[in-house]
Amino acid sequence: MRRLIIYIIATLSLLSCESEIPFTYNSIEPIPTIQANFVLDELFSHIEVSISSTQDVDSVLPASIVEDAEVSLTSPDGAVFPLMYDGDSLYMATIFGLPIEPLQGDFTLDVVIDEVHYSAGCELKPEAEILEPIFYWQEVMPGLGVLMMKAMINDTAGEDNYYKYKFSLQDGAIYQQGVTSDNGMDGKVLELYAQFNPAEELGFITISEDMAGSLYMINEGEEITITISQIDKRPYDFISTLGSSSSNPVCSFTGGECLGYFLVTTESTLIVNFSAENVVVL
Amino acid sequence: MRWFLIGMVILGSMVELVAQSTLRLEGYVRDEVSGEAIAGVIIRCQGSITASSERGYFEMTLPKGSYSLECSHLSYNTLNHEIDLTENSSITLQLNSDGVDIEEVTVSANSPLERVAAVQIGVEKIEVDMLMKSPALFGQRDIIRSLTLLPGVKAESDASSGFQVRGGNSSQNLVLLDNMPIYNAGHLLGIFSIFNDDVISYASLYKGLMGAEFSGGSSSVLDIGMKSGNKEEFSGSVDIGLLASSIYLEAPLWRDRISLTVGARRSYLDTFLYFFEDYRDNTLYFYDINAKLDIDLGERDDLSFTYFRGKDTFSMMDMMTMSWGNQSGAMQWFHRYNDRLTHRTSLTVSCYDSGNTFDMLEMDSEMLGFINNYGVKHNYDFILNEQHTLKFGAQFSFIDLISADWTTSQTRLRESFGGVESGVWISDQWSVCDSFTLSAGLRLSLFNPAYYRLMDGGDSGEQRESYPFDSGYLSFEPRLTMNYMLSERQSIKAGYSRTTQNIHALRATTISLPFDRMMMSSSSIKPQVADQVSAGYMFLSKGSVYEFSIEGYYKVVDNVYDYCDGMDFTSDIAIENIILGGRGRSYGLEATFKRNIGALTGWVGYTLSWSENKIEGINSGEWYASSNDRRHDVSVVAIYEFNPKWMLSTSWVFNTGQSLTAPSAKYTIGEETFYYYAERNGYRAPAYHRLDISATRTKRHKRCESELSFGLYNAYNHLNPFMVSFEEDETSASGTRAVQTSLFGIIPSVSYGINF
Repeated sequence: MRRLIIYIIATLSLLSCESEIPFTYNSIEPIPTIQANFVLDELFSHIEVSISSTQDVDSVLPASIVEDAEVSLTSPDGAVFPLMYDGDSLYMATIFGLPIEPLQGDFTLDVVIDEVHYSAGCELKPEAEILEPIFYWQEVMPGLGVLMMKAMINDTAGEDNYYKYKFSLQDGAIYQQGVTSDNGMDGKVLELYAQFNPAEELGFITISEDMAGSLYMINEGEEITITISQIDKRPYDFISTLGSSSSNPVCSFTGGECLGYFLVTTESTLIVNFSAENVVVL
Repeated sequence: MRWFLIGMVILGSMVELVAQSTLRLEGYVRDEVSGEAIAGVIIRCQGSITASSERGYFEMTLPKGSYSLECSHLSYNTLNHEIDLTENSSITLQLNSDGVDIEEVTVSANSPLERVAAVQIGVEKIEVDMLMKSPALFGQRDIIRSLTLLPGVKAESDASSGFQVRGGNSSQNLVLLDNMPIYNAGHLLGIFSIFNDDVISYASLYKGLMGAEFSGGSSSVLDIGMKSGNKEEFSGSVDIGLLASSIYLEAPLWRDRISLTVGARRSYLDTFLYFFEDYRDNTLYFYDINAKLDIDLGERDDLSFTYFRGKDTFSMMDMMTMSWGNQSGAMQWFHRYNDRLTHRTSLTVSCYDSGNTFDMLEMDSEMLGFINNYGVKHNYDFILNEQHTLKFGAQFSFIDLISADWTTSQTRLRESFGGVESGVWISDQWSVCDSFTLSAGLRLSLFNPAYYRLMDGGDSGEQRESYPFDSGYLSFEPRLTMNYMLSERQSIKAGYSRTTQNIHALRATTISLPFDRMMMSSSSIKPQVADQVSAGYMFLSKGSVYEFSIEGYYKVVDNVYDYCDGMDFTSDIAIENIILGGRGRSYGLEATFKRNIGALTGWVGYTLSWSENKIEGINSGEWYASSNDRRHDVSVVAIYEFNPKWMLSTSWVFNTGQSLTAPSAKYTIGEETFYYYAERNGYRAPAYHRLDISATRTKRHKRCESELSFGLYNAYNHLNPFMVSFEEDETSASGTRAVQTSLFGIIPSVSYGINF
């Protein structure tokens, strides 16, 4: 639905010009930023918490790291696992592979920074069911077209479900990622799209040279990894509102002003090999 | 309602009981050649003074005797009419403009004296004369753009036909065209308004303080009337511009009885696209049609039918289409019962719809929205005696509104509202003494939400939620204005007004777009209630050459809505999930200095204003500047008539920067950098200023008059802020830069028109 805004801005931009302007930003006290990812599966469980703080807009990156926080994970059965600072803003478990069962109920992450206690809960959701993706090509202007991959999730009916997805390239680099929900699509197949720039020898011509430059050029037989996990609403709210125009994301933590999320997932993965023969030409 | 009807019957019967010591003189003022009604004619008679209405109607109460009426209007020769008043009388006065020196035509046809004496404060009567002379964008004159040159009124942006009045936003304005509500008044995403200046007879802007007969705009009411046609002879005009052309025709279908007015306008950008093979299948155009049939049914009755259609379409091949448009119709019946009581009944239907479709790679989607308003308004004017003039009436409308109807290949979501708005009112304009006039009114408004529906369930369109409401919202809306004449040329005015609004727009961006989500008061969305106090002083120099006015205002609005953090208008189909409500306030000072008469006419307007909101859950619950808050606003308009052939007009506007939300810090999530916003609307965009110039050559031919206009929009090519955004910049040490997007640089234009 955001396409509408993009069209309008694109239409107006035909008449517009851009220029850099001098701007004086206000300065504020640093605010903690917490990213907590806990991946649980039958063989291996791994938690990684990154804690940094905000910086002035005109300051030079990288982010300022918080090294002296007290961090702990509590499982639904009450077991507490302290996490220790491991360098590069990361807090990790003291043992490799946490002995935690995929239990029902809230996992809790507690973080104490400068005597302020931040806390976030997250429930582990069942694995998502990924369907085989389809590649499409459609001519949109004379001689120009788009190549699109449609990935699909089979949603479970009768409940509000939220998903995190990630498309990775053959070299492991993340090509596209985000979150989606089954709002208005309960029990249906949810569709996710990724656009590529086809190699010339495949016989497809992409939409425009400008756009082709920002798209990954895909070759025959190349591997794409689709990773999808069903997630709790709280981290979904944060990730889906991250980068919203002129407003802050909905923070998953309580206890004080901060930014961040706590995500507990079990990931599902599907690897596909691109083949020009299987592209559906519309 | 029953008591209201009984009251009206009693008031009607009182007419016959009023003492007959005075007699009533009434009539119409018309153009001697065209037969058209003339508004704003000052009629003087032995110390009594009145002005003709938009219909050319006037009335006076005088003792029995012989009189000389003096009828003056700056565009016409003054007429002295002798009358022997022995009984209640009705007359028609015909004014001619032969030999009127063009230099005597001022920018404002509503007389300065009338403005000083008028009891209503905070009203701007826009003159079509002025509109015709102000500089134009792309050669298209536009009443909304002209409005924004007035103090207290600001343009939303270069690309918006929305206007902001006294700290309100454009969705808080009620726009009426012949009593038909118009919900989106923009062509080409708002670059032009839908009002074709050829067909406009009058326009009045009430800046929050309005008569009791109006309701529905918590910020302002813009009341526009379409011309009634020439009942004597055929006339018209043709205008050819760079972007669009228009035609306007007036024809007497039955001489002196029935006239037809038709105005039509169409853009032709799509014609140019046809010459390029790659763009031939694209569509981009707008058009509008205005028509009015005016029937004179005798001395007591007048009937008119008005139709308006405006449409915009933009499509790329078969893949994407955006369209929106208004379609409205009205029937108005004016009836004069007797010398003191008249009524006007309006039946109106007004429909607005917007939609965009996307059909590519099986990602089909469609977004629709519409609002239908079916209304009836019944208004009485009753002259009780020399001191009291009453207005009373009733209004009823049913509104059917789809906030959003989103369809994809797999599902359909829809949110809709229905409601009934009704109101009764009474007001009295009381001439307490020669120097003091008071207008007091009360309006009772009732809004009954009829339904709220949230449809979900894909192809079957299953209804997820629907419920009737137990009760409605009743509001008492007092209206009070007063005028104390310090002398014939100086007055002090003050007023208080409460208005409510039940149709709200949740805007897609900080400017109005055709795809704003509309919503209506319901159990969770409360009516907006605005209370405004205002006071001012007005001075007119000898001969009405110079005019100075100053007005201050303070306004509080309950139930203003804004987005929750992280939400936009597409975040959720249920609108109550993405908004929060609170309170708004605005206050300021408006000053105007005008030159009314002479070769050089025009004005300088200045507005100092503040506009703020306070909403729990936004900005830590603290007051914050609303998105349309601007501190200083200056407009200078000058029109110089060199001779009867050449006229030069210029306008210069300056606004201090509009408030905007900018980051106060940045942070990293994953590999990406994001911005943290410490305060909503806590920063200012750069200032806006622009100079427009136009020169017009008028040539009189044997049977017609032609007009050639040259224009320069943004003459010194200043890049004004349309949008300010913040983005990563790999070339700077901080990695961040602020980018201003500007829309229109210097735009030359030329247009040619013929009046016949």
